Amino acid sequence: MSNLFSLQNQHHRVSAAALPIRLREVWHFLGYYHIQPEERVNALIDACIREAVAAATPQGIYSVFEIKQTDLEDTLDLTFAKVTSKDLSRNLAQCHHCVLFAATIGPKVDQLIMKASRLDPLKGCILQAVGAMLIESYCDLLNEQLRTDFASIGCALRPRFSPGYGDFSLNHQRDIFRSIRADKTIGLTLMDSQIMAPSKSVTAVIGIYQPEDKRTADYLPGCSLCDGCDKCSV
Amino acid sequence: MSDQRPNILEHIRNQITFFDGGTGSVLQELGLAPGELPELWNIDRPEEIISLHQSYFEAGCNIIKTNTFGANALKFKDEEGPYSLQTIVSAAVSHAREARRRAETGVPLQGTLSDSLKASAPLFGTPAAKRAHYIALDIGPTGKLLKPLGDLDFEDAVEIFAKTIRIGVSQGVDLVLIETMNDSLEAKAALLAAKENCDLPVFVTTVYDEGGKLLTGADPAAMTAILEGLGADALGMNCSLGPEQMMGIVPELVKYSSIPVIVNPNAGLPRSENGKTVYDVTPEDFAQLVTQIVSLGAHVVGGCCGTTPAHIRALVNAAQDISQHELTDKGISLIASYTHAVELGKKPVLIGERINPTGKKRFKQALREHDIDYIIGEGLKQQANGADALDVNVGLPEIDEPALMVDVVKELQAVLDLPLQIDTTDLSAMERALRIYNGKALVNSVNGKQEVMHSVFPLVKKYGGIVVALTLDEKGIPADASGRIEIARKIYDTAASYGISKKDIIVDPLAMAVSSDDTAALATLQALKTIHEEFHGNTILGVSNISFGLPQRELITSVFFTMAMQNGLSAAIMNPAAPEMMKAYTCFCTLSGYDTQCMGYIDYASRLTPVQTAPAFNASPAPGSIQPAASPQFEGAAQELSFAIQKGLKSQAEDATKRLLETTDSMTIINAYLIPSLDVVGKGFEAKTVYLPQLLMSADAAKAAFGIIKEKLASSGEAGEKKGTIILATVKGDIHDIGKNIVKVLLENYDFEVLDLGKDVPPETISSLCVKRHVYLVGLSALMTTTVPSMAETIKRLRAEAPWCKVCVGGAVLTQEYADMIGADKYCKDAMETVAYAQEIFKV
Repeated sequence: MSNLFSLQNQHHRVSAAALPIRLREVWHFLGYYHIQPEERVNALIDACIREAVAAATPQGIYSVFEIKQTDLEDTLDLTFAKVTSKDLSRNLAQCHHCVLFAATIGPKVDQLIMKASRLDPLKGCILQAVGAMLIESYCDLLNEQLRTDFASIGCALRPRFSPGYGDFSLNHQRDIFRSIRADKTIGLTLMDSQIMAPSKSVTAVIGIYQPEDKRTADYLPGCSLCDGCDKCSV
Repeated sequence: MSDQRPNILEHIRNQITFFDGGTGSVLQELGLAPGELPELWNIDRPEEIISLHQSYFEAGCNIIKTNTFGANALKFKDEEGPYSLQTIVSAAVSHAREARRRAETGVPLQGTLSDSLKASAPLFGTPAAKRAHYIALDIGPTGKLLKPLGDLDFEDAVEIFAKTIRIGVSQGVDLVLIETMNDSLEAKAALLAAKENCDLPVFVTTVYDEGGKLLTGADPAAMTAILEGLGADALGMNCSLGPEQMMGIVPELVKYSSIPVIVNPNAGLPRSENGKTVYDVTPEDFAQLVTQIVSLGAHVVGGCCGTTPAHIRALVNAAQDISQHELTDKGISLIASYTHAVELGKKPVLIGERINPTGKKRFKQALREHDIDYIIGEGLKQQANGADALDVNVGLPEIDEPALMVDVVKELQAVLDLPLQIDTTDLSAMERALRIYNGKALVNSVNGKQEVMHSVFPLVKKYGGIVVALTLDEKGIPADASGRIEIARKIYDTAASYGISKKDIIVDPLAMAVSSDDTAALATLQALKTIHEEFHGNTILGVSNISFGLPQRELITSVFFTMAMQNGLSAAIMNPAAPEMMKAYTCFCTLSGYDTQCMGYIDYASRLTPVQTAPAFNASPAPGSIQPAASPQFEGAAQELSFAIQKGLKSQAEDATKRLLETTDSMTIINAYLIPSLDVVGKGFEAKTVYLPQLLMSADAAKAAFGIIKEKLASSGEAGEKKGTIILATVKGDIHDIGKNIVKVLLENYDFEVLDLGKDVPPETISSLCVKRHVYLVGLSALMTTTVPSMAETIKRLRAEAPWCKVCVGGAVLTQEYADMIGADKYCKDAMETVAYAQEIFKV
């Protein structure tokens, strides 16, 4: 069995300057779907991106766990937790292991948002959107690295799936925080309400499988929430 | 050895002192499962824990850390039984003591450690058994972020740490080690807990990233100021980085710290090898690098994650004979915020004086109305104008000063990163503010009166701070310099008797009105000069007092300011928005060698050049702008205001409002111009022709216009009649408030009074305010499905206690169904709908 399957509490960090900036995503978060913001708003977005990138400290931590089937319906034993979820079960179908990861861009971006939203809600909104884009961008970067790592041993990865997606209960946040040392290593904590602090953070599982057919190999974000496989042209 | 064991601080003064290495990483090697709490092994696998400690002692280290890193009341909730906090911590200390006994009496090490971890190389010098051995009660972070970033209250954090410390100390440890702190405020909570619950030495190490900052922002100088101020006995860093990456940060700590510096690096970075996590720095390389760290001035060294007894053995062998840096009081006067320190005694420091009600009607009104935004706004303005620190004075006879002081300090430190000066004569306000302040504050003030000194100095000693010492006493203010110098001497001496050194005193020789005494300025300057030159002390002045009673005050104040700086003034309490003062300051700094290549001067001068005025108002709307057909038709300044609001042009809105106020009364401006113009934008937003950022820009312009109107009302003493009062809150458990803040801004734009309770607000706080003020409308926001029940509970409570009150709800997860389910009166899908509902309720 490859070493990759026994990875525990791997710490990952990159410079925020290395994160791809995805403007369109920021626009979407701000409500601009089929239209570009006007110049003034774009100038503000630019300024906010600069500030947020300077403040962000992207870090992640991940462990790999075995997935075992259970006798219960739609219930998987992910080693760190037994999870009953139809959507997650579909996402992890045919997966024998999963990566569990937690990622954050750090508390300093929250400080910026807090400062701005207090006195300048527009800037607060934009920073909020930029922060959301940055953490997504970082997760993609981290996931891409994992994808490459696992491809080297002939494995493919499913799209990440977070507690709160579909019927994957947010209550599993506790299991996640118990099993990886997110607080000590990357400063990510879970509040009593199960919300994470810093706020621009993600926890998720990523299924690992041996690719067989096109359908599973090309699995896309959202597939597990959609029943339209037969008619799908994506 | 136990009998001859010197006090740990004495040991550190005499020789390099060694910590042990990693605990968690070694336990994993011994089979600790992922997710298993290492502290459970204190109960389940005691022999492994004892062996681990013993093998570190045998490797040659002096201090071992108990296996209590995560032992806190949040993780171990049982009150009794085998896994209660009491049992876990007691067992941990007892294992450490047993390990020490075995190491000192020659009991052979039990063979649980794998060979790779064991120190196989021989130990040079004194045999391990004869070395001095200490036990540190290990205190790690709570695993929670403190408010406002997270949900843990500061005092709760103090109590969580206190519980573990009380148990550990009662079982017999030699010191307390607070380690792996990512956040300055949490480090402060832990240190306070230790100081309040034991007399043992307390060491604190924090985690720096490669940029030399804590995750929440503090740099080494700031941490040194904060921790030394709070009475830590040694400070430093651990975890996250390897010795090589720490190398650059060590000199910063050594430069500022007057107490021993601790450096406990990881064994480099982890990677996976044959299914195991290994670290990339070998014992030999580790020893070589950490030895360099000792040469840079660290007094206590050891290891963190990935380091093993082999690493420590190699280090002890390599470093034990190096001559260490002498421990000296650096005498550097630092104040600090949660990000950076400001040094007194070099370039003069500007302390913004504007957060103070004296003589300011608008500010008094803000205090009475608990208008924190206005106060924060004053702070941000001063920061933008160049203040290095901010004075905070919220004293008004009719308000609860301690409570307001705490609120204002908390809010200020949530949004701006300048060090604060806690300015109050109310001792309770002073203590409460110093306690929660995330930094090392200036304390304003003490004076030569015995009673005042004996009540203020204990606070400064406990919480840290640089205290402003006014040169007056029971006999008043001496007219001449020598009398004031005498008082300064008395204050220095009394402070010293409390253990407060000169570096933490800043003398105010008092600027008095030159209009009432021709020699007033001379006396002040003479006293200033003497304290600077003969005592090498720091000085501060509220410079503007000098010109009291004179015309064109800024003119003479600024020259006095220059004279004071020339005589050694360390800090001035002044208005950074006053141009003459900033001119004097900028020029002085340039002429005194504080301005590299005159860049500061050039920058300042370029900003003095009259800027091109904004282009004249052009009423013809730009292409793609809001349809003029929908706009109300106004003329002159009214038209300009309407346009500025619709286009979100803040300064134009302000200018137009000022001009309108010359001819039109406030209420007409609000009702006839401001609100109809906002309506145009609001309708555009509903029709999706205006996007959220534009709506917010318009709101901002309207807010600016309101600001002008408020100023006018405050100065004329009129009270504005509000359209109605609304409570807004993000419900308990939820800390997302951006949506709520947008609603607030818009409601205020429509001239409603908003009582903003903030985020994470318990139901009882909302209902009691609703009852107290008899409020007719409450707006609740929630972002997470998990906090909707908390919203339901709030509504239930409001129904029971304030049946007259209507409740509207909104937020990302809310839907009409949810709103119906939890019994809200109204679901508002966005801010504009909330405004419409408020107008309906208050029939405006």
